[in-house]
Amino acid sequence: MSDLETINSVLSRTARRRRWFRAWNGLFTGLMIAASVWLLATISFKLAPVPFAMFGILGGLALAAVVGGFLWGGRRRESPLETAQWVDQQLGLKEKLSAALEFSRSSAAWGDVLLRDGVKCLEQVQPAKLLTYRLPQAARWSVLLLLLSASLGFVPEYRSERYLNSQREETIIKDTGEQLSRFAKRALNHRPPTMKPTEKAMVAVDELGQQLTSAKLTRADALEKISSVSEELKDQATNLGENPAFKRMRQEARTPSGAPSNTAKALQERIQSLQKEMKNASGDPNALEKMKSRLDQLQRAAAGMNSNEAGMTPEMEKQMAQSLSNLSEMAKSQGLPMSDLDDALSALKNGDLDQLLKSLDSAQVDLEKMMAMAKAMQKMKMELAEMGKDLGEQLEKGQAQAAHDRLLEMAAKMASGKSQEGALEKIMAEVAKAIDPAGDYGDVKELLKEALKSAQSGDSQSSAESMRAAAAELKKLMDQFGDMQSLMASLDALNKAQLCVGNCQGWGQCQSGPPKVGPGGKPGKGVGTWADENAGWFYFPETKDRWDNSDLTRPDMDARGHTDRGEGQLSNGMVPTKVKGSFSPGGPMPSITLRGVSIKGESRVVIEEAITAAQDEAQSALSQQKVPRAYQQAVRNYFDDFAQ
Amino acid sequence: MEEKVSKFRERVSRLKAEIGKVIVGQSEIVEGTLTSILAGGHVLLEGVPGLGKTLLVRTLSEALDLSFNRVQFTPDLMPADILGTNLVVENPDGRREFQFQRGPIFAHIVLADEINRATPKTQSAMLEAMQEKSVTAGGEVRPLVPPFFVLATQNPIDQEGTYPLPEAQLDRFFFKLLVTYPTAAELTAVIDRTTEGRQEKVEKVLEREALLEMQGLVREVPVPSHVKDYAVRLVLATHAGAESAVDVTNQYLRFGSSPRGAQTMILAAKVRALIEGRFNVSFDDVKAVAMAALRHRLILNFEAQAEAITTDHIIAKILEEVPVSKVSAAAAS
Repeated sequence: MSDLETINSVLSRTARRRRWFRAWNGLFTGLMIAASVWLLATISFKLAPVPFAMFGILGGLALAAVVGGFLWGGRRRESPLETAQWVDQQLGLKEKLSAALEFSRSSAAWGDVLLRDGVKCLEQVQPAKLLTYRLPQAARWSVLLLLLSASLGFVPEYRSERYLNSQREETIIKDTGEQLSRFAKRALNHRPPTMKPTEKAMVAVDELGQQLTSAKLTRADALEKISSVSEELKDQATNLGENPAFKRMRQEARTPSGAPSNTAKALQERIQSLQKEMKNASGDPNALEKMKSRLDQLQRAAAGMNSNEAGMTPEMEKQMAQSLSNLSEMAKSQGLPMSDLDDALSALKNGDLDQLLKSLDSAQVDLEKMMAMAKAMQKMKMELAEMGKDLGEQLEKGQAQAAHDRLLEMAAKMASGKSQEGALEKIMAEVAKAIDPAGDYGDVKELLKEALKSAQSGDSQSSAESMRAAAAELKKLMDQFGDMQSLMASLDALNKAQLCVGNCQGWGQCQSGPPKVGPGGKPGKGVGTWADENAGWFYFPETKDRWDNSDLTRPDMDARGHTDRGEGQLSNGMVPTKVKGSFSPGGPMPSITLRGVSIKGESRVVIEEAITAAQDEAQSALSQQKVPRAYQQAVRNYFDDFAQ
Repeated sequence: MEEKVSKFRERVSRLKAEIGKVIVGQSEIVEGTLTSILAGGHVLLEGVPGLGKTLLVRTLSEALDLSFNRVQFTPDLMPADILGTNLVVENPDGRREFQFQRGPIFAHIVLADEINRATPKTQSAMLEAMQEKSVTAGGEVRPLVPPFFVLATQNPIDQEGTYPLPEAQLDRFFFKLLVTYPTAAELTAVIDRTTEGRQEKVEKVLEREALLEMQGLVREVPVPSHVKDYAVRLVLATHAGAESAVDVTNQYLRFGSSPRGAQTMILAAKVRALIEGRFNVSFDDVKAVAMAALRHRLILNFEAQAEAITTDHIIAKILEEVPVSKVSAAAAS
């Protein structure tokens, strides 16, 4: 190997290592850039509402920076002369290597001398020692920056009140849009409108919903759009509402029996089915209520006997048997076949208390079921009673569906021509009576007149045709009424949307229309007389910006459950008084009735037994919160005194 | 070639040794003077009186087997006093004719002592001799016999009655060497040598032909392109207002170095490489000679003069700021 080749070989090795070394350093420089960018992004995210997706993009950029740094560092291949110059400087070789390379060919006289001089220097050139791989300073900076970024991750983001409000608004608008769109789609699928304008209006609601969902709108813009669609719907609904037929139909729809599906026939069928299920029992709800109350008493007495260590005395057995047979007779008189009561009686005779309790439980379940069916049947009977008896009444009451059915029925009879003479006259009379009430139903009146005229002239076919036409007209009106109801529902939904967007509340929190009266005579869904304060007129929005300095006591503003009512004060008339008395065995007793133990008449019960029973009952009532809070202490004291 | 270089070193060593018999210390000045002579350039020695400037030149002339003339520059010195003049002389035939009477410039080594005491007119008389190595007198060009060196001295203090050398004149000096005070040890040695009646005899160690041969060898030394590039960048860095200028240049210099500055640096660097027994010039060689080669070629502006900034300060700053090569610049970044 010549001197020049030796030099070149060492230099090419050095150049290769240098290239890798530059790539290594570039990698960490890229990492440092990536870490800086990441830190900046984290700081930006913590201080400003930058979208979170930015981190994904920056993550990609950071990775690209690392890879890019590596590639950039190792991109360039050095010439041997450049490497020689670098080695000269690193090892202080006084430019011997570079001079040797440069003049090896150009100057013959000096070339050899320089090459020999250069080769002598090669002993010092060891690429591995010259370029030792270790973590560059950029790596330490990168670690520091990444640690800073990670620590910043635990710092909560700062968001201005204004931004948070706008975000909340955006979410509410989006949610409202989704709800509106869902509502419109459901309405369109469930009951496609018959009229074009109604369909257009419903589609407009759907489009509005989609617009609110997809477009970024301010609260003002959203309200403007909602109110614009709302106005259109209102105009349409007003136009439809002017139809007098709809007024009647609306009134009918408001009554409890006014559901359109509840035709007389359907009601009748359901009553019959229920009757069949009850095995033709009379099902008087009051009598059933009474029976249930007695059955409850019997159950408690049986439970008391079961828990009593003394067991069942013959007197008690006799009394219970008496009560059971009375109850059984009552059930039979109501037409209720309650075999469980007979089982209970036989269990009592056998002294099997467990079986007795089981049979009583089973009887109670049957009775409750029966009561529910009886109540439903009673309600349906009431509804049936509300139904118009003839066409005229039905039209007058706005029972369009029933009237429609009736007209078809009459038309069928007329068309068949099999009706008897009397029946035909009856139909004619019914039609004649219905002409006036039909005045509000568009062409129905005229068609009925035609039907009557045709019937009078003996043209039953033509009369039937007119009746069918009248029925079709009614059907058309019903469809239009359905459209109007859809429109009204859409309007309700739009009002609700306006409320939601206007008050910046979620769809579930908003209530459209006037507050509805709940079971306690107050609005909302609260338990008993407690109202749902967030849903009705008891709702007062939380005051944040203003301070109430009116010095008025506002118990309604107290948080729920925070009101301290104290121990409760009884009015003077309610304070229990102790009356001293004495029991004289064998003598007359005051009318004291304890459940399960009859102590009427002459006392045959040991006093301790009666006291224990009374105490158990009182304790049970107290533990089950049946006694009002204000009376609890008094009741407890009374029975404690009793024991003494 | 290795032999030639080795011989060169040996001769220089002998020369240094001979000079060292008389001159105590001042190794940089001795080396600088030798470098100038080996590169074929003139030297301006600047220093306060009594530092041995004249003695150095005289010793050098004694060590070299060359003719030597000394001219003491005074304000009344005329150009003809240096160059020579045409005199009317009677020839053997009894006829009178003009004959050129050579001045002291016609020697191999000319010591121009206290050169700044002569008038500019007289100083300028040296220009042609220094650059062209010839003298024009009476319409006739008379070449000077090589080698020809002017070794001038000047006193930086006692400025009254002096004429600062014009820039053109300064530029013709290869090196400007600043002679400094000796150290305590050197001064003790000077006292010992000069007060004990001991007289060292300097022997002639280098003939004219050998010197010319050495000058020829100097010219042959190869200079790597990146070293040349460095010298060029150094000179360009002195050009105020140029793209390559460094900050200090723009702030304190009125004019930068002429191309002679770069030529001087390269030639001097070659001599240095040979003296050190190397076959090529390195960055260090250029750095080592930059100060002596450039300090008299830079012209300071008023701000620098007001702030007592010298050209040496500026050259040091330039050497610090200009990277030796692009490779090192890349490595540094």
